[in-house]
Amino acid sequence: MASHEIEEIIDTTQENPSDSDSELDNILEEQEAATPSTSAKKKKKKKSKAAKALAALRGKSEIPQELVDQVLDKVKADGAVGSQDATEDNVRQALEHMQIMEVAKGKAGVGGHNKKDMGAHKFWATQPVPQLGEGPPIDDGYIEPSKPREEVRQEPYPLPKDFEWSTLDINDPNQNKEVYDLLSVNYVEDDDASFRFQYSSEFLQWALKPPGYHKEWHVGVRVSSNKKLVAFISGVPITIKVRGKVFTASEINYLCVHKKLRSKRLAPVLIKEVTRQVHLKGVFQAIYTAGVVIPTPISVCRYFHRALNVAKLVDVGFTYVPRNMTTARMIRMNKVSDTPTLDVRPMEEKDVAPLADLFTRYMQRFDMVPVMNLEDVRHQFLSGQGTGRIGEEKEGRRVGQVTWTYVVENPETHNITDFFSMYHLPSTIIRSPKHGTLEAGYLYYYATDVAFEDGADEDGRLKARLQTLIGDALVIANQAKLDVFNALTLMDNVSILKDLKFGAGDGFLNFYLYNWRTSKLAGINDEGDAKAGRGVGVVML
Amino acid sequence: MEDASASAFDAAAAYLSTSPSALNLSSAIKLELYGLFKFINLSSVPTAPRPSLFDFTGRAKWDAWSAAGNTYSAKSDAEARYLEIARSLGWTEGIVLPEAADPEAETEEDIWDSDDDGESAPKSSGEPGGFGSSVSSMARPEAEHDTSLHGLVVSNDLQGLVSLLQEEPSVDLNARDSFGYTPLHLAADRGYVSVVEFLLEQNADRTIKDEDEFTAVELAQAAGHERIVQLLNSPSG
Repeated sequence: MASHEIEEIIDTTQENPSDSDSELDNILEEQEAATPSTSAKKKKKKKSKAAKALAALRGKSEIPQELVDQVLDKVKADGAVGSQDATEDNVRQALEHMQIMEVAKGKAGVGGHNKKDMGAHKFWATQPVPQLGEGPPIDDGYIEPSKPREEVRQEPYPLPKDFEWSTLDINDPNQNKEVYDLLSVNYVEDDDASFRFQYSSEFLQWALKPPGYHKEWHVGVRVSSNKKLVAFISGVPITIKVRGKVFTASEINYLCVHKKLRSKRLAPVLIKEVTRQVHLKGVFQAIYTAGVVIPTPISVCRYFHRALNVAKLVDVGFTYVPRNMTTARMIRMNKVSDTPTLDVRPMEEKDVAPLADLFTRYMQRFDMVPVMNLEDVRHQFLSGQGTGRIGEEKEGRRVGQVTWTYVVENPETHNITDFFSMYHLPSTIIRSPKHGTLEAGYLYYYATDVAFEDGADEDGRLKARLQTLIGDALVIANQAKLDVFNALTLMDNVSILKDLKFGAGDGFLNFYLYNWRTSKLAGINDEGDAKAGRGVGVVML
Repeated sequence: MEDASASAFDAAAAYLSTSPSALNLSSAIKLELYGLFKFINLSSVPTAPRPSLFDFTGRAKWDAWSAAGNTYSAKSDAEARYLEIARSLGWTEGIVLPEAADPEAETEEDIWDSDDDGESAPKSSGEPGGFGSSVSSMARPEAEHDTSLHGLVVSNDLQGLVSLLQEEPSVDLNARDSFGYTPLHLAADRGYVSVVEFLLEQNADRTIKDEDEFTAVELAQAAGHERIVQLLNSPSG
């Protein structure tokens, strides 16, 4: 169970811990935004439907199998106390014991997490996504066929009175700042509301403008009267390969609704509108991630954290001192070397083609991967390196640096044999008198040609090389004065996290595909023959 | 009189909700504070049904609230206990709260006439694990309630320490735990100012080194607890 901090414990207004709202609540409800005049009627209708369902369920002694499975998975994934004792039987018993419909309606939580999740299915039931309990598909493929452009809805979805749609131009510094301001105050926080992502303007420039991006996919909602930006959702084009099938998709991210408008049901209409804009460009698939479970994850990964600035992380409550340790000892244990082990250097323009080749070959190890051409590689790995010299503005960084990509070049052949990349995404520390920002680095893509040697995976050569390579990423992150280095249980990360002194986080990330079926991809756990992590080769920003 | 104590209670509650010393509290103390708070502000026992055994947090909170109601007969007793805990965490009457950067302040400007359909605005107003990415921090094991000398120090339980010393005046304040730490090592490392003060008043030995050859002041230094460094460097007496 995640720790719950004092503010939550001594909260003043909340009667019931599960009362708190979240953006996804809005998705539970029918989309009233489109038809504000009939919303009262709809609500009534909804109630009687729920009552019917409740009555039906009461009459039925059986708890649905998929629910039992989901709870069991969740309890185990959370690693809560006693979870090793959780069996299908006692889960079923407990579910019968608690007011099960409350969970189904989203009013109560399971383990205090993912409240309302089950209820969110109402919106998702109308979408071309695999529904819960469907089981693995026989074949991979779309759920709903693509439509010709003229069959796509041509007019924007209606918004509640006093709001209007707005396409955001991220190139315009003022509009970029508006998105930054909206996200920095209203975007994702952790369960304890201690940390909130703080995407910089440079980060947004980088993340929202990959090659071939469409500004129409940067969808905003403004208050009509004063034009204030109050909601945002974005898509960027990505080519992905899932189990051998290649398709174009939209990578959906940064869904954010102003805190004061969380009851306006804006999220479903934002999702529908960005989907419409994506359809208008002839794209009918999407990939997205969420901390919560909605129908239906294709994989779930767990966050791991490598402490770099131990004293600060302890001070702000990001990490804790185990009973058998002191901060002083943790500092010593987590010390990283001053210089990298391998002969790494920052990536340059001339590295684009060899790096692209290495990347493509390496990524064949994983079931779901991005397909990048030279332009994509240049954008993803080179364009975010900032300007000027390292250390010009801040120690270990260039001005406006968002990404770091380092390569190892063979001195004889001049081939690129290895590379790693990371990006910098700070979080606002919501309440700390001493520190305002948590400087976090995230492991992005990497590759090594050791993977192509015969038997390197089985005899541990690959693991050893990755450990050295990512160990060097820690050195670079430390030189850039980052406080913590984060990684998910995807790609080959699982094999090296422990040896590089990463600790398990309390955050999970679920991966989703829109309008595409495939069976589960190995993330936090093995799936069939696929080792943990090896299913997922897409790192989302 | 009534008003004065109510405002002291509010001030203490405000202090605890922002003070970093509260971040490191054990779950046991947090839950006690929670139970007391609910008792004082709402009712003697919870009115909602006890949460299911899968909702660990909800259930623990419910139990804590219920325990507060069963332990104290009058609100004033509960308030006294609350203030006592707050004082042990460094709160004093009239303390000025550090002006924490308040990201919520900006949202106060009216962007929308507030006809929010009577639905209450969320209190913790972020999007916990919303659509998009997910914020994570290091997962912690469940804190166990340990009432030994060292356990009380680790929970920053000054009141518990005082009681322990009253009951067992002969207890060795310089005893090492199974990891080689004295109470002073632990309090200096965790940043518990009032526990350090108390241990120094009781003439705890500040020269003892832990298994890494660190003294209490070196531990406080490494962890960046300046106030404790000062305390440990000031001459005893």
